Amino acid sequence: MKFTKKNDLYLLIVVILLVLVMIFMNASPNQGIIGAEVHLKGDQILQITKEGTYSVINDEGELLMNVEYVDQRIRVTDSSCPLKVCENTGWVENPNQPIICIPNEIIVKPLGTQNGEGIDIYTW
Amino acid sequence: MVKRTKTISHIAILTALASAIYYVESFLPMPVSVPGARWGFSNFPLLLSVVSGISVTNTLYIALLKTLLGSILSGRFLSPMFWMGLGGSLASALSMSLFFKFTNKFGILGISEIGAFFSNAVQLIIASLFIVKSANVFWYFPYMLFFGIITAFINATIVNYILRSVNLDRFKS
Repeated sequence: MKFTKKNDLYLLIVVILLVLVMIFMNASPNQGIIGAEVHLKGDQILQITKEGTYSVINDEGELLMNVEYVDQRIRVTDSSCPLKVCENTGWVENPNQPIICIPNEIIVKPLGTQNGEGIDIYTW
Repeated sequence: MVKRTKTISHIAILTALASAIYYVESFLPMPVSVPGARWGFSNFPLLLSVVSGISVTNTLYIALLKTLLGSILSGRFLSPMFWMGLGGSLASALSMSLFFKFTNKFGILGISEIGAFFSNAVQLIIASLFIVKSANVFWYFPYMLFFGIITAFINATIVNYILRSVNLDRFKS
């Protein structure tokens, strides 16, 4: 079995092009956000439009995470998940970029200034 | 009988290797925070079993067992990340064996890239359908693909060196 064949190179080029195109499309509308929606297990539980810190609590009353919205940016602080990926995501200003916490099944979806712009890529 | 014993030991060795790596790699930090993502070095025993030509069923067994064992060891059995990992490794095992069996166009590197691509795609599909129930997870797809390319290259290199020094025909069923 050979390590590489010619087709491997074509495959690599196609995948790298795909990555570049998708990153470019993700980054396109990059101006502040006007709020956020918080979804827990697919249901919207919180709509954030005013600046401040919000607590996300599940049905049993446990604190899952705090969401902070200041200066048209949003971030997650104090999450109860083990790996803290949602905290490490940091400040989000791009309306396309969701903050996702897989262990708690939470998604923080920023709302952009232009509604619907740039969302088309994901609806497949 | 001898053949059967050889198959069982082949599966056992590769499963042990893969689940040990699955556990250890959860300590490796990811340079970019992507939800649910790991490096995926534990897929190289899968790649090894595919290119050494054991059957599709046995490769799927290795994929299933390494996720079960690895997640029990690292304490995320039946958590959302376990389901993503299970779907990803089954999908990559299946796609790699099918491409290896029915096309003769790709080398080890190509097969590895195909496995990485399908693993990432299926993980995100599972996350978007069953876990967060939103298509927004696909924002992370290009970043996962990018790391997938790097990991696939490392996995393919490891497998290439192993194939050079170990005579795997002795394990073939």
